[in-house]
Amino acid sequence: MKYIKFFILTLSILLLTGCWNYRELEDLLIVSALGIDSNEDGFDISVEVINDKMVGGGEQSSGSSSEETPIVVYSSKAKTIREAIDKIILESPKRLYLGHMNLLVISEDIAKKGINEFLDYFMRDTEIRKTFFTTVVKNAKASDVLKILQPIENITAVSIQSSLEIANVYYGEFSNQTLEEIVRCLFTTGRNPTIAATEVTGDVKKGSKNDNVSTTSPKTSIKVKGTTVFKGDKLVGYLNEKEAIYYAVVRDKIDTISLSFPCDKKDNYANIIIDGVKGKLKATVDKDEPKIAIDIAGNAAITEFNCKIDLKKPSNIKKIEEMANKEIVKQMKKTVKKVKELNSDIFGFEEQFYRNHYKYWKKKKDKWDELFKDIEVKVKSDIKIERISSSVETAKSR
Amino acid sequence: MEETNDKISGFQLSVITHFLTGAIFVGFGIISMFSLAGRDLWISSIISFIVCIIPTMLLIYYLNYNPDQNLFQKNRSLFGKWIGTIVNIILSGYVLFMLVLVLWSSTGFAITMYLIKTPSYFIAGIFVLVAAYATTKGIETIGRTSEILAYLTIIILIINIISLGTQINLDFFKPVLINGITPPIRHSLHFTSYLFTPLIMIAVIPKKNIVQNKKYKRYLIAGIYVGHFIMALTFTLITGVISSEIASFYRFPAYYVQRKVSIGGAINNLENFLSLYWFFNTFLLITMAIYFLSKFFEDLFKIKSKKINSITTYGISIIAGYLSLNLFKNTVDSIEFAKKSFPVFISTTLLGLMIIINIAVFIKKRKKKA
Repeated sequence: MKYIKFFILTLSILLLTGCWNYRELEDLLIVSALGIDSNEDGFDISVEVINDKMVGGGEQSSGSSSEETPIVVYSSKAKTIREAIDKIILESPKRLYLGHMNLLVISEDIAKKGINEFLDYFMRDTEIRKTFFTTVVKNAKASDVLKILQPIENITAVSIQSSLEIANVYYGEFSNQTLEEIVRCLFTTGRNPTIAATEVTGDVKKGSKNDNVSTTSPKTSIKVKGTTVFKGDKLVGYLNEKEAIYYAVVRDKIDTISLSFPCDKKDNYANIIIDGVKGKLKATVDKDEPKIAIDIAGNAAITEFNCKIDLKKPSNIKKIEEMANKEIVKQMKKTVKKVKELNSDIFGFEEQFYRNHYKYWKKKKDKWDELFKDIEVKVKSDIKIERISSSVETAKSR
Repeated sequence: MEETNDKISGFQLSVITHFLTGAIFVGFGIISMFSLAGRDLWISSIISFIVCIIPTMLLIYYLNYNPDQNLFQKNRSLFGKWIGTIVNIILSGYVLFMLVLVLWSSTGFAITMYLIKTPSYFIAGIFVLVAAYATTKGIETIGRTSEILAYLTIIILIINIISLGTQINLDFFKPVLINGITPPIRHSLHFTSYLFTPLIMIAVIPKKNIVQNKKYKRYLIAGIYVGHFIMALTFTLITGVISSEIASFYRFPAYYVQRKVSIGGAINNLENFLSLYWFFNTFLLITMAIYFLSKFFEDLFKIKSKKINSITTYGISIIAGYLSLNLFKNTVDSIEFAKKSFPVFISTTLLGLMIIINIAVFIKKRKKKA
């Protein structure tokens, strides 16, 4: 018995050292981003992989030359995403690993055809995390975007991801839609998805060379440019940066927004930072007519004031609040109008009726597109100015 | 055969009961409940609290009959040697089926989420052999194992509740009862069937093998309802955090929702650790099922030798492991089975058998009194 136990223990040492899925890090190519373009026969897939010789530790390891780039982009064509990825293995020296993918770049043409064509792979594959960001590139191919070298941040995917996050946190633009959020919109009744839009400025070919990052003013860059609007799974239009902010307010997805508004009739402007922005959407039915109320609230601090108004007077603060609220209502109405023109319910007005007035929704669900165009939307803003920052006077007050 | 390691505490009984209640949900119950009940699942699970009273009472009533005998001895004393043996064979058939089913789902879960390239026979083999080893060591070892797993479960639950509880979106629960109360009532029966069917295995532990056995019933009821509460909580968290629409999309929504667990925004990617809870459930069911079947053979063939008993245990494990590899042709078949056939062909027939057994118990008790 002793010998049998000893044998089993020895065998365990051998068997429990690893498993069939054992993969050495050095045998993997870490995919940081994946781009999808369409072609007549299926998909054009591009993967941006991290060149570990150039990235990591900040120093180039031995054997690397200064001509090498921190990222390498591989491309292939196939009928399915999986097949295209498999084909890349024939070209790449190592196996592709998608577990750390940060970004999915979708070209405008494939977004117009419908994102349901390729989403399944990303949802089904167990290796891929569902929390990566997505973006639709407006004026270039997805493969081109991945090739553009960015200053400051070596890896293009990380650079774009950071831009999307920062655009959300500091600028208030709602851009960081993850795959999971997109899928939820597609699967849930009454709300259409949005995906961050990006734009390439400059020459794509020049942007893929090291010269683009060895200058103080890169000739080619990628910029976050508002939000796309989808109807179902198809791209139908765009919201610009400002409209994207108000969309985010309605969805209650942002905490801070920066607002510039006219503070007198002489074309002078003030700026406030609104913290703790709360957007509330309420659906009501009045005489069989659907109505939507958008309430916005938050506390603000004056960050810049270029008008000749005495900020020490409480009545003036009240006036500034009114000006700010007026501007917010104006911008919100403009955004709602634009979205209505695009005829895509990205705000989730229908979802509000579905969740809170189910019987009414059931009665009207087939006519929702017409109802959406004519739905009455009331906007109310209640921003309170709490702080005037470090100055009690304005530069123009003297 | 006299056993030396045959005592478990009331707490251990409670823990084993709780683990058994969750086992069928792994890979089968959760996905089929979501596809059946959708966002009203939380209502079904609340109704199931009431529905559960009936099988709980049946089980307790049965366990109270000759409490110091195990299930096989009870049945023989109730129905006589031949019919009693036939009843025991039928009940063992149910247990074998549940063992094979849970082995299949655990193997599938491990292959899909963790070990894509590992052969299924290797995973199933590891599961059954460890469970068989625990079984050969007696119910005391099973009890102690479950106790250790219980403490880990508490940690996992606390992390899940604190992290996911704050991510609940109440809108995901609306609209409520769009098709009326009848579907949630119907689905509560499904819920109860997944939850309660494995509990027949508890009857293999005679009351005399439980320390502090005066509070035996309390521990058993606590185990059932703690298990019930955890499953109801699981469904509520899944619906509230990712919505029932997304949950229906995935085969393992409980694993998927655990990807969202984050401790203080700094510690993330805990899903592999947190999903161990589901393996605890299936492991305990596998262990208890092997224990049940080894006791059945011990009782049937009057096995006295410890060595032969061990060989039987390993034999059962290997056969179950082999059967589990060929149980279903594919995943779709298994989900369809869980949704349609399990509650009807397994749970309902087992409930029917339990009712018959309890009627026999009732008649026997009346005769004794007379």
